[in-house]
Amino acid sequence: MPDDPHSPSADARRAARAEAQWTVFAIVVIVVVAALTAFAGIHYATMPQGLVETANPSALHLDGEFVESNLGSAIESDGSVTVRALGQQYSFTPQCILVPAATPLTIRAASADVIHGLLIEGTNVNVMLVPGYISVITARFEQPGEHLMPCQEFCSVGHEGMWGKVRVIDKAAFADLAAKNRRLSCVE
Amino acid sequence: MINSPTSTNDSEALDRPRDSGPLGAAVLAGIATAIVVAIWFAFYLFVFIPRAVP
Repeated sequence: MPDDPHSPSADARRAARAEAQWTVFAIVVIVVVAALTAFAGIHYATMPQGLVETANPSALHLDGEFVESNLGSAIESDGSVTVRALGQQYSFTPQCILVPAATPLTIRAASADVIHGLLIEGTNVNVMLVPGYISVITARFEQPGEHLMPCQEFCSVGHEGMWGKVRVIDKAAFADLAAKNRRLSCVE
Repeated sequence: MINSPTSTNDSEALDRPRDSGPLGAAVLAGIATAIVVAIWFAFYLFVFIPRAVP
């Protein structure tokens, strides 16, 4: 009896309709979340790296921009600051990154051995350091202060001890220090 | 009472919730999903977007 509202086929139709309605609801949620993720890129809350740059991890200490004397913060001609850092088992170099407040920063970092992660607490800076590649991410700190910078990618037994910090100081004080030193850090 | 005999001629009353479809399940799943999505929106709007670096 196809017209019997209590027949097994009527039950199956009701179940199929409920399932279709729930599917539409789930698709709407997924589309909204995907659209907001795209908006985050447009709004620069997070932005995938535009250009793939490579660096030979076995020769980082010998040649190129990640030699020890070039690590740390440097003022660029446009007033922005570029920070260069290395991650290796189990520390960051420099261990303490010194940056000015209210200044656009570009962080360039690489790994000398395995995959590490660079995360600055209280910001959206959260990037993987993959051996062979240079990770580039922008940041800006409005207020002076200190932020923890732990490795966020398990990198073997000493991982939990691998962390650095970022010290944000007044812009003028940073400019004074930069006039005396080519590369800045707050390693004591 | 828990062990009271059920009425055998009350099949219409038993069929009524079945006819309306799985409404209770939809409400329960809807509330659970809404809570998760609301938490996602809260982090997105009040933590993630304010940290944007234009």
